[in-house]
Amino acid sequence: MRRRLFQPSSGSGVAGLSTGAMAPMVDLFTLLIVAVLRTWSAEPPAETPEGDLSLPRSVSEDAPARGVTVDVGKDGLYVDGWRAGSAVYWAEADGALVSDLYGPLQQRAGEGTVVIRAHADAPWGLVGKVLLTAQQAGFEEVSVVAESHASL
Amino acid sequence: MVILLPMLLMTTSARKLTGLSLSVAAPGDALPPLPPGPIEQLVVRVDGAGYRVQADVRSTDVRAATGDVERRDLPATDLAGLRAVLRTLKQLDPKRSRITLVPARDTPTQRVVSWMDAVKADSRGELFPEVVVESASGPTP
Repeated sequence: MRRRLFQPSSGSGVAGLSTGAMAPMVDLFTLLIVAVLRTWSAEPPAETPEGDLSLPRSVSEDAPARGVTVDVGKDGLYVDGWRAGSAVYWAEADGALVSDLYGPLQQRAGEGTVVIRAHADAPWGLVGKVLLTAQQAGFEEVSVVAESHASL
Repeated sequence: MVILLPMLLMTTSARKLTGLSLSVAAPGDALPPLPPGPIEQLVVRVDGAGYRVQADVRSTDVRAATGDVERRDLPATDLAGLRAVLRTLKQLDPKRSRITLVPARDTPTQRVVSWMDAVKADSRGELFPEVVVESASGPTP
């Protein structure tokens, strides 16, 4: 028996969708919503001082902590979006602390958590210095932000 | 549905972010004590050939003095091999959760993050979720 997906709506002569045609559409929308909720973040899009900051990818799905944000880009180091120093200089410099970051971070040590957004290709020598500087400035919690593998 | 879906797409972000909390081992730092277990210290270093796991295991020899430890050097060529070595050590000391990673100065951040993911869990469950990353110049506490 042939299934009628389109039939004239009663009383008007205008063609409309039957219940049989709506069911696959509802299924499709449900799947789309589940996919969006699974892969998309409710957080607003992250704005980075250097537009091309590609974060490392991780299988972890823990939500990122909130706190003072330090960006380690290809060109510079930033505290909450404000440039504090040169990434190139501090990657090569001797010493374990980044003095350009120490002052701004020490002023905000009461916030407790520092969130590091480092470029995926940034050398760990530089990121380690930033982590140690944050710790020495008085931050107790340190978190590195990565892009979840669940992202599209 | 037709309204909800575009609203979701407009108000959310396709870039799902995650946070990896970690401890940093600074020179002279004292981390909280661990519960006593067979493994006293567990350190993973990166070298040219892959990874090297250093585990200080308490000696179980009846003739050994109290506090004697035996250092085991266990190589791993890739992350799968590293997970297998860590799974063996986890079976030896199931209560241990802390591990120290020592990346090289020029190791890319992406590789360190993959490394952190690998030591935290494998397909069989949790490994060592409390990750301590040694600072560029600091010794292992």
